[in-house]
Amino acid sequence: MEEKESTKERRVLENYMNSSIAFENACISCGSPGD
Amino acid sequence: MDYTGGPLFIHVDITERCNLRCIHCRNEISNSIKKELPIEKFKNFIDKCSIIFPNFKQVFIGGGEPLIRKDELFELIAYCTKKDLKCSLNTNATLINKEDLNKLTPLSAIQVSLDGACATTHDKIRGIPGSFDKAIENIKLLVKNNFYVCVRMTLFDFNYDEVFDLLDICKKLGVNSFSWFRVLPAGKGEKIKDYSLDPKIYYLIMKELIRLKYELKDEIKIVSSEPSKIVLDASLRNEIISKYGTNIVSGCIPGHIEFFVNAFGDIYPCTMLQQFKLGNILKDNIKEVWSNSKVLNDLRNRQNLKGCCGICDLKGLCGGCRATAFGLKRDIFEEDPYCPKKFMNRKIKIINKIRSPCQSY
Repeated sequence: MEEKESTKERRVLENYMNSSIAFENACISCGSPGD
Repeated sequence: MDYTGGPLFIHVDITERCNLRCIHCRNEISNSIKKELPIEKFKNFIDKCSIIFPNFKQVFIGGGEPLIRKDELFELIAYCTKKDLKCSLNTNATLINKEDLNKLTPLSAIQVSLDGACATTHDKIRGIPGSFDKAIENIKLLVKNNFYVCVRMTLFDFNYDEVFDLLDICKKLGVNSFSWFRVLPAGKGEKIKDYSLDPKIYYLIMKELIRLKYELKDEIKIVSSEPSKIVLDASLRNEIISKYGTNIVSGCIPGHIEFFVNAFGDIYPCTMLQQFKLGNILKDNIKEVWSNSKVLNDLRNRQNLKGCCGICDLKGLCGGCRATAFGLKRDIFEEDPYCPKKFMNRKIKIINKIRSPCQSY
Protein backbone atom coordinates (compact mmCIF):
# COMPACT_ATOMS: atom_id res chain seq x y z
CA MET A 1 0.00 0.00 0.00
CA GLU A 2 1.28 3.45 -0.83
CA GLU A 3 2.50 5.50 2.09
CA LYS A 4 0.17 8.35 3.10
CA GLU A 5 1.49 11.76 2.05
CA SER A 6 1.47 13.07 5.65
CA THR A 7 3.31 9.98 6.94
CA LYS A 8 5.88 10.32 4.20
CA GLU A 9 6.38 14.01 5.00
CA ARG A 10 6.84 13.22 8.68
CA ARG A 11 9.35 10.49 7.88
CA VAL A 12 11.38 12.79 5.63
CA LEU A 13 11.35 15.49 8.31
CA GLU A 14 12.42 12.98 10.96
CA ASN A 15 15.28 11.80 8.77
CA TYR A 16 16.32 15.37 8.16
CA MET A 17 16.21 16.26 11.83
CA ASN A 18 18.36 13.26 12.65
CA SER A 19 20.99 14.35 10.17
CA SER A 20 24.04 16.50 10.74
CA ILE A 21 23.04 18.62 7.78
CA ALA A 22 19.98 19.89 9.68
CA PHE A 23 22.37 21.53 12.11
CA GLU A 24 24.69 22.72 9.41
CA ASN A 25 21.91 24.63 7.73
CA ALA A 26 20.33 25.93 10.91
CA CYS A 27 20.90 29.42 12.21
CA ILE A 28 22.99 27.99 14.98
CA SER A 29 26.25 26.31 14.47
CA CYS A 30 29.21 25.20 16.37
CA GLY A 31 29.87 22.42 13.90
CA SER A 32 30.26 19.87 16.66
CA PRO A 33 29.94 16.14 16.06
CA GLY A 34 26.71 16.46 18.04
CA ASP A 35 25.31 18.73 15.37
CA MET B 1 5.81 20.27 7.64
CA ASP B 2 4.96 18.40 10.79
CA TYR B 3 6.03 20.05 14.05
CA THR B 4 4.31 17.76 16.53
CA GLY B 5 7.61 16.14 17.51
CA GLY B 6 8.79 19.41 19.03
CA PRO B 7 12.09 21.22 18.60
CA LEU B 8 15.37 19.50 17.81
CA PHE B 9 17.18 21.71 20.27
CA ILE B 10 16.45 24.26 22.95
CA HIS B 11 18.68 27.19 23.78
CA VAL B 12 18.75 27.95 27.51
CA ASP B 13 20.38 31.02 29.02
CA ILE B 14 21.05 30.16 32.64
CA THR B 15 22.06 33.72 33.48
CA GLU B 16 22.10 37.21 32.03
CA ARG B 17 25.00 38.21 34.25
CA CYS B 18 28.39 38.55 32.63
CA ASN B 19 31.94 39.50 33.48
CA LEU B 20 32.38 41.21 30.08
CA ARG B 21 30.58 44.24 28.64
CA CYS B 22 30.12 43.47 24.96
CA ILE B 23 28.83 46.34 22.86
CA HIS B 24 26.43 44.07 20.98
CA CYS B 25 25.12 41.81 23.76
CA ARG B 26 21.63 40.53 23.05
CA ASN B 27 20.81 40.92 26.73
CA GLU B 28 20.60 44.61 27.36
CA ILE B 29 21.10 44.51 31.10
CA SER B 30 24.16 42.78 32.42
CA ASN B 31 24.21 41.82 36.10
CA SER B 32 20.43 41.98 36.12
CA ILE B 33 18.79 42.20 39.52
CA LYS B 34 15.87 40.06 38.33
CA LYS B 35 15.83 36.68 40.02
CA GLU B 36 17.24 33.94 37.85
CA LEU B 37 15.53 30.57 38.02
CA PRO B 38 17.15 27.98 40.28
CA ILE B 39 18.89 25.31 38.21
CA GLU B 40 16.39 22.76 39.53
CA LYS B 41 13.66 24.53 37.51
CA PHE B 42 15.73 24.25 34.33
CA LYS B 43 16.29 20.57 35.07
CA ASN B 44 12.53 20.04 35.48
CA PHE B 45 11.96 21.85 32.22
CA ILE B 46 14.53 19.74 30.35
CA ASP B 47 12.96 16.66 31.87
CA LYS B 48 9.50 17.68 30.71
CA CYS B 49 10.72 18.51 27.19
CA SER B 50 12.48 15.18 26.83
CA ILE B 51 9.17 13.46 27.59
CA ILE B 52 6.81 15.57 25.46
CA PHE B 53 9.08 16.22 22.49
CA PRO B 54 10.41 13.07 20.76
CA ASN B 55 12.56 15.19 18.43
CA PHE B 56 14.36 16.98 21.28
CA LYS B 57 18.05 16.03 21.22
CA GLN B 58 20.27 18.90 22.23
CA VAL B 59 20.57 21.74 24.71
CA PHE B 60 22.60 24.87 24.04
CA ILE B 61 23.56 26.58 27.25
CA GLY B 62 24.32 30.27 27.02
CA GLY B 63 23.98 33.57 28.79
CA GLY B 64 25.27 36.11 29.89
CA GLU B 65 28.32 34.11 30.78
CA PRO B 66 27.14 30.67 31.96
CA LEU B 67 30.31 30.08 34.00
CA ILE B 68 29.16 32.88 36.34
CA ARG B 69 26.89 30.12 37.75
CA LYS B 70 29.65 27.55 37.56
CA ASP B 71 28.46 24.85 39.94
CA GLU B 72 24.90 25.07 38.68
CA LEU B 73 26.13 24.95 35.10
CA PHE B 74 28.03 21.74 35.85
CA GLU B 75 24.89 20.32 37.46
CA LEU B 76 22.83 21.10 34.36
CA ILE B 77 25.44 19.63 32.00
CA ALA B 78 25.51 16.43 34.03
CA TYR B 79 21.72 16.30 34.07
CA CYS B 80 21.37 16.73 30.30
CA THR B 81 23.95 14.01 29.76
CA LYS B 82 22.05 11.71 32.11
CA LYS B 83 18.98 12.34 29.97
CA ASP B 84 20.94 11.33 26.84
CA LEU B 85 20.77 14.85 25.48
CA LYS B 86 23.72 16.43 23.75
CA CYS B 87 24.81 19.60 25.38
CA SER B 88 26.90 22.54 24.08
CA LEU B 89 28.12 25.65 25.81
CA ASN B 90 28.48 29.21 24.56
CA THR B 91 31.09 31.07 26.55
CA ASN B 92 33.57 33.93 26.44
CA ALA B 93 36.12 31.42 27.83
CA THR B 94 37.57 33.85 30.36
CA LEU B 95 36.33 32.06 33.48
CA ILE B 96 37.41 28.51 32.71
CA ASN B 97 40.02 26.95 35.01
CA LYS B 98 41.94 23.69 34.81
CA GLU B 99 39.84 22.40 37.70
CA ASP B 100 36.64 22.83 35.65
CA LEU B 101 37.66 20.57 32.79
CA ASN B 102 36.34 17.33 34.25
CA LYS B 103 32.90 18.81 34.75
CA LEU B 104 32.88 20.15 31.21
CA THR B 105 33.86 16.82 29.65
CA PRO B 106 30.31 15.74 28.73
CA LEU B 107 29.88 18.75 26.45
CA SER B 108 29.69 17.94 22.75
CA ALA B 109 31.08 21.38 21.91
CA ILE B 110 32.28 24.59 23.51
CA GLN B 111 31.70 27.69 21.44
CA VAL B 112 33.99 30.59 22.26
CA SER B 113 33.36 34.12 21.04
CA LEU B 114 36.36 35.88 19.51
CA ASP B 115 35.61 39.07 17.65
CA GLY B 116 39.03 40.02 16.36
CA ALA B 117 42.43 38.65 15.49
CA CYS B 118 44.11 40.76 18.16
CA ALA B 119 43.48 41.98 21.68
CA THR B 120 42.91 45.58 20.59
CA THR B 121 39.85 44.74 18.50
CA HIS B 122 38.42 41.92 20.60
CA ASP B 123 38.77 43.79 23.89
CA LYS B 124 37.23 46.92 22.39
CA ILE B 125 34.15 44.91 21.44
CA ARG B 126 34.08 42.88 24.65
CA GLY B 127 34.57 45.93 26.84
CA ILE B 128 37.16 44.47 29.20
CA PRO B 129 40.95 44.58 28.68
CA GLY B 130 42.65 41.20 28.84
CA SER B 131 39.63 39.24 27.62
CA PHE B 132 41.31 38.26 24.32
CA ASP B 133 44.47 36.92 25.97
CA LYS B 134 42.47 35.01 28.57
CA ALA B 135 40.20 33.51 25.91
CA ILE B 136 43.19 32.42 23.80
CA GLU B 137 44.86 30.88 26.87
CA ASN B 138 41.72 28.90 27.65
CA ILE B 139 41.15 27.85 24.05
CA LYS B 140 44.65 26.34 24.17
CA LEU B 141 43.73 24.58 27.41
CA LEU B 142 40.51 23.20 25.93
CA VAL B 143 42.17 22.06 22.70
CA LYS B 144 44.97 20.40 24.68
CA ASN B 145 42.36 18.51 26.64
CA ASN B 146 40.53 17.33 23.52
CA PHE B 147 37.38 19.41 23.81
CA TYR B 148 35.53 20.18 20.61
CA VAL B 149 36.10 23.93 20.31
CA CYS B 150 34.32 26.27 17.96
CA VAL B 151 35.38 29.91 17.66
CA ARG B 152 32.61 32.25 16.64
CA MET B 153 33.24 35.72 15.25
CA THR B 154 30.64 38.47 15.04
CA LEU B 155 31.31 40.74 12.09
CA PHE B 156 31.08 44.53 12.40
CA ASP B 157 32.13 47.24 9.97
CA PHE B 158 35.34 47.76 11.95
CA ASN B 159 36.51 44.18 12.52
CA TYR B 160 35.60 42.34 9.30
CA ASP B 161 39.11 42.82 7.91
CA GLU B 162 40.40 40.51 10.65
CA VAL B 163 38.19 37.55 9.79
CA PHE B 164 40.77 35.63 7.76
CA ASP B 165 43.56 36.35 10.24
CA LEU B 166 41.34 35.00 12.98
CA LEU B 167 40.64 31.93 10.88
CA ASP B 168 44.43 31.45 10.54
CA ILE B 169 44.85 31.80 14.30
CA CYS B 170 42.12 29.21 14.87
CA LYS B 171 43.87 26.77 12.53
CA LYS B 172 47.14 27.27 14.38
CA LEU B 173 45.45 26.78 17.73
CA GLY B 174 43.91 23.51 16.56
CA VAL B 175 40.36 24.73 16.99
CA ASN B 176 37.81 22.33 15.48
CA SER B 177 35.46 24.78 13.86
CA PHE B 178 35.15 28.43 12.95
CA SER B 179 31.80 30.12 12.82
CA TRP B 180 30.74 33.58 11.75
CA PHE B 181 27.70 35.81 11.83
CA ARG B 182 26.99 39.49 11.39
CA VAL B 183 26.08 41.77 14.29
CA LEU B 184 22.31 41.75 14.68
CA PRO B 185 20.08 44.70 15.52
CA ALA B 186 18.82 43.05 18.72
CA GLY B 187 19.44 43.85 22.38
CA LYS B 188 22.36 46.28 22.66
CA GLY B 189 23.00 45.61 18.97
CA GLU B 190 19.98 47.82 18.19
CA LYS B 191 21.86 50.82 19.51
CA ILE B 192 24.94 50.30 17.38
CA LYS B 193 23.38 49.92 13.96
CA ASP B 194 26.03 52.32 12.65
CA TYR B 195 28.60 49.56 13.16
CA SER B 196 26.66 47.12 10.99
CA LEU B 197 28.51 45.65 8.08
CA ASP B 198 27.75 46.79 4.54
CA PRO B 199 25.74 43.92 2.93
CA LYS B 200 28.03 43.99 -0.12
CA ILE B 201 31.16 43.52 1.99
CA TYR B 202 29.37 40.82 3.96
CA TYR B 203 28.53 39.05 0.71
CA LEU B 204 32.19 39.05 -0.37
CA ILE B 205 33.35 37.73 2.99
CA MET B 206 30.69 35.06 3.05
CA LYS B 207 31.55 33.94 -0.46
CA GLU B 208 35.22 33.62 0.45
CA LEU B 209 34.47 31.78 3.69
CA ILE B 210 32.29 29.29 1.84
CA ARG B 211 35.09 28.75 -0.69
CA LEU B 212 37.50 28.19 2.21
CA LYS B 213 35.03 25.81 3.88
CA TYR B 214 35.80 23.27 1.16
CA GLU B 215 39.45 24.18 0.63
CA LEU B 216 40.25 23.85 4.35
CA LYS B 217 37.91 20.99 5.16
CA ASP B 218 40.72 18.77 6.41
CA GLU B 219 42.13 21.47 8.68
CA ILE B 220 39.13 23.23 10.19
CA LYS B 221 35.36 23.06 9.83
CA ILE B 222 33.86 26.36 8.70
CA VAL B 223 30.24 26.77 9.73
CA SER B 224 27.81 29.62 10.25
CA SER B 225 24.59 30.73 11.83
CA GLU B 226 23.89 32.71 8.65
CA PRO B 227 20.61 31.47 7.10
CA SER B 228 21.50 32.86 3.66
CA LYS B 229 24.73 30.83 3.40
CA ILE B 230 22.65 28.23 1.57
CA VAL B 231 22.27 30.71 -1.30
CA LEU B 232 26.04 30.72 -1.86
CA ASP B 233 26.83 27.19 -0.72
CA ALA B 234 25.68 25.14 -3.72
CA SER B 235 27.08 21.85 -2.38
CA LEU B 236 25.18 22.13 0.89
CA ARG B 237 22.04 23.17 -0.96
CA ASN B 238 22.25 20.31 -3.45
CA GLU B 239 22.91 17.77 -0.71
CA ILE B 240 19.82 18.82 1.23
CA ILE B 241 17.59 18.92 -1.85
CA SER B 242 18.82 15.59 -3.23
CA LYS B 243 18.40 13.79 0.10
CA TYR B 244 15.28 15.44 1.53
CA GLY B 245 13.53 17.30 -1.28
CA THR B 246 12.47 20.90 -1.43
CA ASN B 247 9.86 20.87 1.33
CA ILE B 248 12.39 20.97 4.16
CA VAL B 249 12.29 24.25 6.05
CA SER B 250 15.60 25.34 7.51
CA GLY B 251 17.96 28.32 7.66
CA CYS B 252 16.20 30.64 10.09
CA ILE B 253 14.69 28.01 12.33
CA PRO B 254 12.88 29.48 15.36
CA GLY B 255 9.60 27.60 15.58
CA HIS B 256 10.88 24.95 13.18
CA ILE B 257 13.53 23.14 15.20
CA GLU B 258 14.39 25.60 17.96
CA PHE B 259 13.13 27.83 20.71
CA PHE B 260 14.79 29.79 23.46
CA VAL B 261 14.34 30.10 27.22
CA ASN B 262 15.94 32.95 29.14
CA ALA B 263 17.34 32.96 32.69
CA PHE B 264 13.92 33.79 34.12
CA GLY B 265 12.11 30.99 32.32
CA ASP B 266 10.53 33.17 29.66
CA ILE B 267 10.11 31.47 26.28
CA TYR B 268 10.95 33.19 22.99
CA PRO B 269 11.27 32.03 19.35
CA CYS B 270 15.04 32.57 19.45
CA THR B 271 17.75 34.39 21.37
CA MET B 272 17.48 37.40 19.09
CA LEU B 273 13.70 37.77 19.09
CA GLN B 274 13.16 38.71 22.71
CA GLN B 275 10.37 41.13 21.80
CA PHE B 276 8.11 38.11 21.28
CA LYS B 277 7.46 36.45 24.62
CA LEU B 278 5.59 33.19 24.09
CA GLY B 279 5.14 32.09 27.69
CA ASN B 280 7.04 30.96 30.76
CA ILE B 281 8.31 27.50 31.61
CA LEU B 282 6.86 27.68 35.15
CA LYS B 283 3.44 28.97 34.20
CA ASP B 284 2.59 27.67 30.77
CA ASN B 285 2.06 24.34 29.07
CA ILE B 286 5.23 24.01 26.98
CA LYS B 287 3.71 21.72 24.38
CA GLU B 288 0.85 24.14 23.91
CA VAL B 289 3.27 27.05 23.54
CA TRP B 290 5.23 25.13 20.90
CA SER B 291 2.16 23.99 18.98
CA ASN B 292 -0.26 26.90 19.32
CA SER B 293 1.81 30.06 19.59
CA LYS B 294 0.69 32.44 16.84
CA VAL B 295 4.21 33.82 16.37
CA LEU B 296 5.73 30.35 15.96
CA ASN B 297 2.97 29.26 13.60
CA ASP B 298 3.42 32.43 11.56
CA LEU B 299 7.19 31.88 11.45
CA ARG B 300 6.58 28.33 10.23
CA ASN B 301 4.72 29.61 7.24
CA ARG B 302 7.29 31.01 4.83
CA GLN B 303 4.46 32.30 2.64
CA ASN B 304 4.31 35.15 5.15
CA LEU B 305 7.71 36.45 4.05
CA LYS B 306 7.83 39.75 2.21
CA GLY B 307 10.11 41.55 -0.23
CA CYS B 308 13.00 39.61 -1.74
CA CYS B 309 12.57 36.87 0.91
CA GLY B 310 8.92 36.46 -0.11
CA ILE B 311 9.63 35.86 -3.78
CA CYS B 312 12.80 33.81 -3.29
CA ASP B 313 12.89 30.24 -4.60
CA LEU B 314 15.09 29.33 -1.61
CA LYS B 315 12.79 30.74 1.07
CA GLY B 316 12.24 27.24 2.46
CA LEU B 317 15.94 26.55 2.95
CA CYS B 318 16.92 30.09 4.01
CA GLY B 319 14.09 32.36 5.13
CA GLY B 320 16.46 35.24 5.91
CA CYS B 321 17.16 36.30 9.48
CA ARG B 322 13.85 37.24 11.06
CA ALA B 323 15.58 39.07 13.93
CA THR B 324 17.36 41.31 11.41
CA ALA B 325 14.06 42.03 9.66
CA PHE B 326 12.39 42.92 12.93
CA GLY B 327 15.34 44.92 14.24
CA LEU B 328 15.57 47.04 11.11
CA LYS B 329 11.98 47.26 9.92
CA ARG B 330 9.85 46.35 12.95
CA ASP B 331 8.24 43.64 10.83
CA ILE B 332 9.26 40.06 11.49
CA PHE B 333 8.35 39.06 7.91
CA GLU B 334 10.15 41.81 6.04
CA GLU B 335 13.07 40.98 3.76
CA ASP B 336 16.53 40.45 5.19
CA PRO B 337 18.74 43.17 3.62
CA TYR B 338 21.76 40.86 3.88
CA CYS B 339 20.46 38.55 1.15
CA PRO B 340 23.46 37.76 -1.06
CA LYS B 341 21.33 37.19 -4.16
CA LYS B 342 21.24 40.84 -5.13
CA PHE B 343 25.03 40.86 -5.49
CA MET B 344 25.49 37.51 -7.19
CA ASN B 345 25.18 38.58 -10.80
CA ARG B 346 26.97 41.86 -10.38
CA LYS B 347 30.60 42.53 -11.04
CA ILE B 348 32.17 42.94 -7.65
CA LYS B 349 35.87 42.67 -7.03
CA ILE B 350 36.49 39.40 -5.26
CA ILE B 351 38.70 39.56 -2.24
CA ASN B 352 41.45 37.01 -2.07
CA LYS B 353 42.51 37.82 1.40
CA ILE B 354 41.73 40.77 3.57
CA ARG B 355 44.68 41.50 5.80
CA SER B 356 44.27 43.19 9.11
CA PRO B 357 46.75 45.26 11.09
CA CYS B 358 46.92 42.49 13.69
CA GLN B 359 49.94 40.83 12.10
CA SER B 360 51.90 40.85 15.31
CA TYR B 361 49.96 37.97 16.86
